[in-house]
Amino acid sequence: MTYLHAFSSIIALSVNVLAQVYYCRFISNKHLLKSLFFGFFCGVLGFSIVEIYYMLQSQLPILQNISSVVINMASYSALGYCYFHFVNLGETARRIRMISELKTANSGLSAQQILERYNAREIIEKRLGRLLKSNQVIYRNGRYYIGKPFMLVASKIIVFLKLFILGKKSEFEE
Amino acid sequence: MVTYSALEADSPSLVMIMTIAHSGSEGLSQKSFEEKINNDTLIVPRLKDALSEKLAYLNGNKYILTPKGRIIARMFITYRRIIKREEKGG
Repeated sequence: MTYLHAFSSIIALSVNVLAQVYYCRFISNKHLLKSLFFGFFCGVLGFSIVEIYYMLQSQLPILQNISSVVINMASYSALGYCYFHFVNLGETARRIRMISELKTANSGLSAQQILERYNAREIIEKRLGRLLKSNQVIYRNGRYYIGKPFMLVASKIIVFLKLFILGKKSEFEE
Repeated sequence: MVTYSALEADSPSLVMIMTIAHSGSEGLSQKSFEEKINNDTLIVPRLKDALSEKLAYLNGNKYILTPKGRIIARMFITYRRIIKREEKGG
């Protein structure tokens, strides 16, 4: 019983992963973000079942039970966050795409061959597509403009943090 | 390391948004995009990282995966196959 409680965040993560994979395989593999939310929510349900069951069986004072639930929930959220980034890496990371291209070419690839398979044009097209779809960028008379301000504000915050923590606005600055 | 902190490497979306923002009310053309954001800024630095992080090594002019790079690539390829994401990421 104690073991079940101790591993509740791991159990919840397992439910999360299984539910997210189920969503992609059997409901829709087009909406990755939705599948991640679905998985996380299912994990919370699994977590709640384990924790409620433990509380009903436990002889401990209620405050002690609540504090352990909070800690386990924080652990589950952190694990869920890591899983989100694992999925996100496979979806958007340039290096993962490059090594995936190298993996499919058994004898290796030259820089030129890599660029033929994956290049700035593709990166721009994909991201611009997403930004246009979400109206963060608008296209008018052959030119691009900032639309909704969310991404711009987020970008400015990141640039500010780069400057504050790393002392430069971009990786290309000396 | 396989991952970066969000601050370390410039995210392409962030660079694109800031580039458009800097163009102000005139907006930015497709051509300007390609002049300002290109393989030298998006691909080449990550290729160098792949070498420095020992995900790949150079054999002549060819990039070859190290065992570490092979394991990581296989992990992501397998995962994407499981969730039926046929379209390549990146």
